[in-house]
Amino acid sequence: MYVDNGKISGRQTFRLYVFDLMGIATLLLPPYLARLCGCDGIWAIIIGSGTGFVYLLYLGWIMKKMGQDMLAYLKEQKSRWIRYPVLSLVGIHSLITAGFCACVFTRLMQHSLIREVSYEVILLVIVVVAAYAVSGGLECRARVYEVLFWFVLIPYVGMMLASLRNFETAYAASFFTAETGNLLKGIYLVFLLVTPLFFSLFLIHEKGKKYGSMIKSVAGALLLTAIILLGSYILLIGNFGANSLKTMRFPVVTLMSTIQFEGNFLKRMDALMVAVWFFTLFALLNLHLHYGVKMGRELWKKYEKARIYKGCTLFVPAALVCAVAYGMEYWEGGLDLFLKYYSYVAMPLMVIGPGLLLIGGKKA
Amino acid sequence: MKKSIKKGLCMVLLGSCLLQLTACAKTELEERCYPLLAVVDYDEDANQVSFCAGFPRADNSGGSTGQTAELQVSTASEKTFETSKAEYEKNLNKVPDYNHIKVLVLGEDFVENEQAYEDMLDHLSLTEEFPRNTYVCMVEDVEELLEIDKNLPQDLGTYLEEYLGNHEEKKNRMLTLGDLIDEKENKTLVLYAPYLIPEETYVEWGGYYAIGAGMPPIDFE
Repeated sequence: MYVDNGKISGRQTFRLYVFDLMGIATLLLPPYLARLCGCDGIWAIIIGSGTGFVYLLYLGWIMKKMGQDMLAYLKEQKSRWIRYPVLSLVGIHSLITAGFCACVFTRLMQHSLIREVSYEVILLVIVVVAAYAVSGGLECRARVYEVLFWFVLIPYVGMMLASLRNFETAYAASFFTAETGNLLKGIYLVFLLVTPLFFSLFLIHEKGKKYGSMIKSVAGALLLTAIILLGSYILLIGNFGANSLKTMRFPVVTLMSTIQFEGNFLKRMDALMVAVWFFTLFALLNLHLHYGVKMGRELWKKYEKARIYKGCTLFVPAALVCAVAYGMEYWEGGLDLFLKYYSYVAMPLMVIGPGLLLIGGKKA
Repeated sequence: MKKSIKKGLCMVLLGSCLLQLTACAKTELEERCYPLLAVVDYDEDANQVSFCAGFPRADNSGGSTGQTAELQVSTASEKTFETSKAEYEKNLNKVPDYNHIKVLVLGEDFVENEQAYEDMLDHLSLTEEFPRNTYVCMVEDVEELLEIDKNLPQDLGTYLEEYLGNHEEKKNRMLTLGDLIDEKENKTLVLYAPYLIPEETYVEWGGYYAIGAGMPPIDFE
């Protein structure tokens, strides 16, 4: 048995955040960066990750000022007129983003493993399993990912190194050609993908203690993710070329399918390697569903003693995630709307919001 | 006790949901066939693209494909690669699964027809039906190549795969379909496709056919 108090160690935080950040970044970012910046995407990754570190420093400063995690701070320091809207906004944002993760996850599974199985079936299974994982608690997931970490990372790095064999230097030779506007868009895009760092504000720590080591763990995860993303991008450019890369759907999965080992060893290595994104996307989906459920439970805490409280506060958010993911797949423009929401609404709020919470509206 | 029953029911429900993911596809394995070779050419007079596939023989099918049918379906000819492939598939008694394709043979006339060639690459890039690792080679007349199939000790697809693999050097790997698809977009490199000359019971190495800057052809060695 383990203690269910929402606290996890620095190492678990590091590994959990590597999973949260690297999956979607390595899967979705390369084609967009290739479209915007070509080979100069590497500068976008370096500068974008740099801004991620600045954002993390800012979050660290806020944590220091709060002296505790965000939920406890809201409860102790803020009136309900501020607490409830903040909890609602974070909850809604978490569920919408979880819907996006579920949509990408389902599409990946359908594209790479089970083409003929319907989108709805895969989505339903994924969300049910995610809800089950969330019901296990944060510590439970952290322990699982702590164990899985090297099992996922070593094969990934190994495959990436193996792809060096097909590296074409002519493809990775045109630097400083991207327009400044496009480069800035690329940097913004990289920064968007590191915004799950926002949730580090909700990690529970002792009053005034340990927040520094937690920030260090998250910073370590960000650094490792930036290195992985940079290495992956260079290899993708060198293997496919920027023009071909921008037309691809999941280029990093395609790259895995083109790597062959001598002696016909492990022929369907690509199918095995999908596990990397299986676990990393699942971690990101769980992160958002976890906070969606948590915010819901905080908002409806007065019904805590009801028999169906736990079930309802778990399955209603899971159903909403399903609905969002379904809408993104079948409603034309659904994904574009999400990207606009994330770029122009969610991201600015995640940057400005925590700072605004420090001023005014104190509990009477 | 009640709790453990509830948990058990949840696990059964979850397990049955997960079972949905265990089958790879709705089509059963027995209803599929696994081509090892695809041959594409262009008939200038009829302005048609022809397509046909090569299958493993019944006697050497114990390998990874597990296919036992020896199918003899005549080449289909239509306006584009996509339509001729669809026409060819209509005549098959099983659903083709191109994931096991080893070699894609292109006729010289086909590669010289820029429109037909790019249409094929667009289609294959979009559908991802053929593996990107598929070897690509060229011949002057595909009919001559198909003729030698019956004189070979093994099926043509496996023979060509072994033949091309034998000519592959560590520093100079053989051209693949992925290279063609990438280069169509990048227009940076000159690609060299192995050029084969069919003889009665074997194929002869005819050098390389250069496909450059995504625009075939540039040079012939």
